[in-house]
Amino acid sequence: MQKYEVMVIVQNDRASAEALAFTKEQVVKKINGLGGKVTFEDFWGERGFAYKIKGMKWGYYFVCQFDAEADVPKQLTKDWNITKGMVRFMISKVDKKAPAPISYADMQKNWVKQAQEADIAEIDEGVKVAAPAAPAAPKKDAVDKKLDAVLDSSSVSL
Amino acid sequence: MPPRPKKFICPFKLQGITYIDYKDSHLLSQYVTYYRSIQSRYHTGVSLKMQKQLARAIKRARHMGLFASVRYEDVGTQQGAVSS
Repeated sequence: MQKYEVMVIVQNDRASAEALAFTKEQVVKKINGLGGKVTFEDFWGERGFAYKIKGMKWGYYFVCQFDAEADVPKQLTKDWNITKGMVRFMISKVDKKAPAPISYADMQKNWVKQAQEADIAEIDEGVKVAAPAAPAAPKKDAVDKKLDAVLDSSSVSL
Repeated sequence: MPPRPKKFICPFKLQGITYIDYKDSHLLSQYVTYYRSIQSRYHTGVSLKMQKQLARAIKRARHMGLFASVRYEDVGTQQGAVSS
């Protein structure tokens, strides 16, 4: 038995609920039918592509992990290559070092957190840089006092 | 003789990352150039072990449309959200 991960893009000519039903039928059921065991499922929903795929700009993403024998991925690729509505798919082995899978929603939350932390770090640095600039002002008083002293002294006649 | 480049510490070692996931496009985006080619190890200081993982992750993300291999101005952004 080997751990695999599959990512599937479903065509965007249907509603979100239909796409979810499509993945359940074409992915989860087929894996179970071939003697595999699905351990993790995550439907991402609609997402834009980084470039056009078959003329489309977006599609529905679905990710799942499963345990299966070595010949199962071969049979799945044969099936999915001739399945309508399947834009693209990728089956990959799950690394032994890989941590437990997390959902796409959690991943997005992590990204927001990281961005916020980066912003805060920048603001802190800005405060540190801005603080020493303020105490430079009192020098003027010293100059004024010197001027007054010079003007008051009898050596200068106006 | 020009000065030797600074010795880098692997940024993944500093962050405690031992595995790079191809779905984490936010992380991957930090290791590509403006034109979306993979940054060399010379510039980022990533260790050889992690650079191999990183390159594989970026190539997988490119295949699944999560990540662009070339920068185009009109075909949507890197993080997606082009849906209509």
